[in-house]
Amino acid sequence: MLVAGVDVGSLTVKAVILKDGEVAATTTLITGDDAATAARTAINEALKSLAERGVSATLDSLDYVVATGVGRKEVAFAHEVKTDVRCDAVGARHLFPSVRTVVDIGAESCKVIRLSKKGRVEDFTANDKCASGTGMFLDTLAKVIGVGVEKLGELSLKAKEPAKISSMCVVFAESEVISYIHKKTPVEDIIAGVHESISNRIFGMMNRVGIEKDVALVGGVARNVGVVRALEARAGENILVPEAPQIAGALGAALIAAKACEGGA
Amino acid sequence: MAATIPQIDSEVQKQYAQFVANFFKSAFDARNAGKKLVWMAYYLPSELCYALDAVPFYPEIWGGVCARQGIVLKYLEAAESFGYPRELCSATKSAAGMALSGEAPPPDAVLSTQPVCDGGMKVHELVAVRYKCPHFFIDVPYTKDKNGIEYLTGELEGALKFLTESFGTELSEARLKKVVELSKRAEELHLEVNELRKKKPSPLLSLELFGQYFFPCSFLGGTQAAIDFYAMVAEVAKRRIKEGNVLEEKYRLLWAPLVPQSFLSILQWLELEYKAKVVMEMVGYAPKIEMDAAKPLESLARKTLEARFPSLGNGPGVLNLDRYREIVKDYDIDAVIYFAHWGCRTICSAVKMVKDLLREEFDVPMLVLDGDIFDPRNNPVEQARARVEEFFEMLE
Repeated sequence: MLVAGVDVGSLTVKAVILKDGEVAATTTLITGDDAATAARTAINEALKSLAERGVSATLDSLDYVVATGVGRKEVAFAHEVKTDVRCDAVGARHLFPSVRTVVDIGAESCKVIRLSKKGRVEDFTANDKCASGTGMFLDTLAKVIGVGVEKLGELSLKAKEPAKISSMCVVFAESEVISYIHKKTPVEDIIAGVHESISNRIFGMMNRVGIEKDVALVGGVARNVGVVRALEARAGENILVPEAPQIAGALGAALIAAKACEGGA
Repeated sequence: MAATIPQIDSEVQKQYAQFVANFFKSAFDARNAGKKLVWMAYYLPSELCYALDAVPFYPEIWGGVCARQGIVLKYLEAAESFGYPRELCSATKSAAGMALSGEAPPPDAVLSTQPVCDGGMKVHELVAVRYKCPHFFIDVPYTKDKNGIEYLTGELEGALKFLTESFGTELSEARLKKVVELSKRAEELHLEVNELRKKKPSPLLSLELFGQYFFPCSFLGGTQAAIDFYAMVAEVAKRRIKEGNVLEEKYRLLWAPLVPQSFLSILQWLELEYKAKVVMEMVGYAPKIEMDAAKPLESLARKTLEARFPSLGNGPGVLNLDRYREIVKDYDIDAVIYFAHWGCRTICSAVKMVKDLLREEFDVPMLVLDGDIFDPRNNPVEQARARVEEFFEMLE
């Protein structure tokens, strides 16, 4: 049985192919301005890597496809669409069966989801008012600081005295960062300050839904170790991060697809 | 007979639209008709005006009508140009903008009060200054006991005295009693309508009557028009039940506390997509109010203290939790959608308290939607739809 989950995010599209319930291939591509094409391309790329290992299949021959993410409704070839909340929950729970709180920080959104002991979504909250606490926030400030976004995490771990970034608004935070640069504040301290700012925002959201152990962090920003450490420090909790956190939603979608094939969706 | 989807331009909807139009037309025509116009905080009983053959004008409610028509921004911008902050409640700001722009019927007197918020109270002071007209402040207590009722009765007496002196008229006791008698009848009919909404499935549609249940009693209390409206709604509900022409429902929702005008499309979508029907709103809930035309001002005091939305913002929030309990039990609510109007401290600060109550006592989930009640610049409808989708997927 071959099924796929595709997570069409605002910045990247992620695809996961499951073969007989096991992850067989994954891809992550830039979404661009055509979500439908991006979703199709992502699955085709995953199928291509699968073919290299001797498993031949086409998008049409997939048994079931579930789409999720902000662009999920554009994926006309999907058999079903599911929200990010459901897919994140299923994906994270599969990766960490003990997880009760899932934090998903994507490019333009952040969500906190609380699960029951059995893994059912009990409550969730999302950032509806601004982009603070998202990948876009980090991306904007990384450009101002002049550091690649992928280097932020490691650099921030060298901070001695994190700068105070008090503005939640990304535009005002940018001004604060510029003023720290002018004051010759070490770049590591500025970055750590940015991470603390994000963790404060996320921590507030976590409290809003109620924190239940264990806590997992998924989404592209989870690859930033600085954010993970800052959030752990703020929440006073060890935070579980999967090896490929950005595909957790697509994995959840694929698992839902597999269940649907078994007649249990 | 199979149920069909009653159209939102149903008899109820059409009559309501006419009802609102007539209400505000009377305010805009008041001067030409030789009647006195009173700008009132939306907490205060319209009966005070009708007893004197004056016309009430509720600026925040007119702001809502303008928001629905897509023309409220000019008032908001007028207020912001004057110096009101962008973050201030848009209902309050719309009232300020009307006064500042002069695009509203000029008042002959202003009645203000402190519930639900300081902003609402202060804006009426601005109106009085702007139009150089007399202003009376009615101090409304939050206690509904004997002392509270007596105190408010005295305040309303003072308000009537103020109005008669300002207008140079005499109060007719007989007319006041007649107005209260009409008000009492409208309240009774409102209760009857709400009883019908308890039926499963509920015979009235979310959008059809959303925000309308409280309008007649609150702003046309004391008129035959309010009675006719509720009688018509009850008749329509009964007919639908009898004919079996009631839209199927899977989820019974409570919407709290207010709905932004730009979210109205969501209500119908909820019914069609999820079979989720709003069977009660915090503003539409009608508690039983003891009214006696022989004690007209005491009756109005009781009504004011039980007033619909405003009572939720009068006094400590914990006092209002019982109303949530009653509604959840009486209407067998499956889920609550709570619109957290950004500009309202009262509404936003109650979120956790209400959510915890629902979860702990009833295991009823609550979705919180953020946005602005009137301001189209702060109303992400698509974002709200996304949250609703996530919420209902959670319920499934």
